[in-house]
Amino acid sequence: MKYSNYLLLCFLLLLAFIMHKQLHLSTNLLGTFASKSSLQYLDVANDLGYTKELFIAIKGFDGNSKRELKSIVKLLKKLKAIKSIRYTITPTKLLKNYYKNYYPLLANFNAQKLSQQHLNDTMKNLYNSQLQSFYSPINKNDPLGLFTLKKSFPTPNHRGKYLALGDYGYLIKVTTTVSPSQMQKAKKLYNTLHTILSQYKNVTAFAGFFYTVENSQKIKEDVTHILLFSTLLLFIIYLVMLRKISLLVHVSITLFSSIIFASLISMTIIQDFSALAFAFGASLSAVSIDYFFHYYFHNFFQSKKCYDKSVFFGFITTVIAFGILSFIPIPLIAQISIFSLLSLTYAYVVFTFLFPFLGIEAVHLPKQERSINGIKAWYITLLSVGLIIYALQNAHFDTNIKNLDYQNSKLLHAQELFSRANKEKLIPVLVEANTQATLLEHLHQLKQKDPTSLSLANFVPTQQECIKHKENLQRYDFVSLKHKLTYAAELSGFAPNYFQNSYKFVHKLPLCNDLNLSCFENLGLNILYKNKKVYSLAYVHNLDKVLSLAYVHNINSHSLFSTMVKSMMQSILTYGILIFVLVMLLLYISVKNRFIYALNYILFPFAISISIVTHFYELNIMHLFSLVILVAIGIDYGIYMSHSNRAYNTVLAINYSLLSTVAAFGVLLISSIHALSSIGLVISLGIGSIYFLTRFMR
Amino acid sequence: MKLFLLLFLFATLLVAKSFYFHEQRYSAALEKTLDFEGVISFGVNSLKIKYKNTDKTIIFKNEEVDILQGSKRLKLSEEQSLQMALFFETLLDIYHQRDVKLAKNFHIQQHIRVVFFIPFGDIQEYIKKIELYKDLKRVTSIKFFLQNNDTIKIKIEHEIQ
Repeated sequence: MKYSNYLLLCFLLLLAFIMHKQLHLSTNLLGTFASKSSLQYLDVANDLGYTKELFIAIKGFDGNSKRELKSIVKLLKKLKAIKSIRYTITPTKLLKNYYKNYYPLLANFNAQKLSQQHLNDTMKNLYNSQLQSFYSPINKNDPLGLFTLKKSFPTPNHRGKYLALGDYGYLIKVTTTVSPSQMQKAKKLYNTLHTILSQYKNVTAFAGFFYTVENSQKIKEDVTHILLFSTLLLFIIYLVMLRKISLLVHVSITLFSSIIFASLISMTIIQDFSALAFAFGASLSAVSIDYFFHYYFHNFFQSKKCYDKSVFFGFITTVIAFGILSFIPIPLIAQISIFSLLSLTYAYVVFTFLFPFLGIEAVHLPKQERSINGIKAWYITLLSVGLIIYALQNAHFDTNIKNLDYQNSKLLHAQELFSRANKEKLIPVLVEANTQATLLEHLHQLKQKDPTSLSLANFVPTQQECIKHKENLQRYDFVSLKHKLTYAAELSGFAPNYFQNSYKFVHKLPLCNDLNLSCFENLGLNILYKNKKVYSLAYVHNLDKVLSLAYVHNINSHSLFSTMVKSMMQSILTYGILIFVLVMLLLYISVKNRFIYALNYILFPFAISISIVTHFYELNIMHLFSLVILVAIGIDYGIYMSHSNRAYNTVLAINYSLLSTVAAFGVLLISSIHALSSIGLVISLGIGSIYFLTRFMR
Repeated sequence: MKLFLLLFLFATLLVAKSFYFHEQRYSAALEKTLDFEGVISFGVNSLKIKYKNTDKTIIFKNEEVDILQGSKRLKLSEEQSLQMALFFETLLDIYHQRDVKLAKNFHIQQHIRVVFFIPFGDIQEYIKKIELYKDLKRVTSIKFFLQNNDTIKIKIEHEIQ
């Protein structure tokens, strides 16, 4: 039994070594805030190429900028991860072929019956136009101009034939094969692009996956620094407190093992376990030290008792709180809760059932009782309620989830440059249908709602429209027209047989259900078949108008996440109330007469934290989550203190564990990731308030 | 010879040069050859054409084509504009003998007094072949063979001082 703590660690390390290939930490912060179901349309949009775009701007419009543009394009064309490159307004070969093949079905047709006189006049005018100094070639296929192709969409901003980013410079639009969630591919392409573009001055590039690469690196560095710093700090604190190397080693091994235990299970049962959940969960595991300190200073290890009532109630309430939170539909919070539940349980079991066999020596503290001439519990309760009311009146919510991520100012600046200069301001939406024909109908209905939108409806008619148009063409008497045309041409002086092939194309019309739409991929308008559904993107100006259509889905990450955050806040509130009620119940069962006293350990830290945060900052989702965690932490101390608030050893145990919790969470304050620093702030304020209560509340 | 060409290129890069020109156009539709005259000015990246007996002027600058009638700008369709821009850019590159750039769209066959440009890629849709005639000092004429069997020969006459 003496060595079982070491054996457990060895076993867990061996397990970690065996499983290391399956263990993976995700750094996709946004993905960990939103549930998979809420992001399903975003996933489809990603498959369609949304967020796979890369933008490169070359400052200026001079010869040098143009040379750089062409040189960059040349280098990009060699890259395998590049699907298509757009840098001119010239239509692609595929698009030209599409119009060539389906011209009669796509162009508007003037079905008016033309008289011989009308044809004579038209041909005479055409003849005269050829005598003019300005050369204008004749369209032999349709010399009478009966077919007119309407403009499909406004020409993008350009200088000459080259795409332009407002007045900033030339623009290259690239579709890559990399989405922001594909870490390895993203990193590879990012490095290649970085090598290519660093050769040029005045070049700015932006892609969604740049955040993945740069932020992920930053998040990993940040998390590593925090964990190292926090571990070092805790080690020093424990060394000073315990002063016994063997005990320090055992406590450290238990905490370390509890983190490995929780990591192994969490990463096995949860796909894409978040690095942030790991960092926060690991910090939270330090909370379990309070079980040890309480046992240690109350000489529980030598007492032969099965369990300690205070520690048990503290543990159970914390576990229940995390247990409830693990069902919250916010992946990051659920992950942190599961991790904490596992690590705290491991630590509780080891401290309670294993440590009594380690031969730990009893602590001899003076059996003195503290004399407390502090503030009455009722006053603290009233102050807390007052502060909570102040905070609720003062609270402003920050619903922009991106504010929680690492604030990559360089990329944010680049993103701002592209969105500011892009005057088109089109918002992407996802359109869903059961078949391709229905999809086209949906896109046309969307176009009626927002006529300035861009989608396949700009280029492709619906099947019904196409059939109607085809029937219209088949009804028209082209044979008679051709006779009249030949006569008029000869009369005007045109070369004989010059128009012999005119309107021949109408005799072999393509099929309406056979339109090949692959040429629109370059414009970001391809079609995707997924899970027995057909999807395509549309770009709209009026999001609210088109979202009233049931088959149109919002994929704009900003508005999507903003809506999501509102529902997350609602979830946290609901779960928070549920936890609060349960904690109250458990608290009452545990402390009965000293209920108000114990309650203050929840109310006061909560009130101090929320009032200070709302006074200086906008309240974000991580602040709310930390407040709920604070309730779970505070309850332990409430129970311990209400059972023996005058005992020197209880206060000492609490102060030591508070110090270690501050060391674990206070470090989060230095994080450059707003999500982590928000947690650090709330927990540090809360722990400070608990310390105040242990000193000054009677 | 190379030095001469370099000096020539350098000189043309410094200032826009204006020439009287004679255009001989064969229209396959009319089975007729038509003659026009005017003034053509070549800049480094710009071109201006003004025909005799008309107030219309074609200006090609910054890869965009403008047709002015007096001070009024005439509207061109996008397709027309792109086609004309392609045509004038080619004309400008040929005049300045930008062979590296031209080689991206043409197979170039050099002869003593004539250079043949055989197109490939997008430009092939409109142009069958281009012939460039030159003497020791300068380009003398450029002949475009179009896909619709029309031909346009621009004979560059004396320079306007």
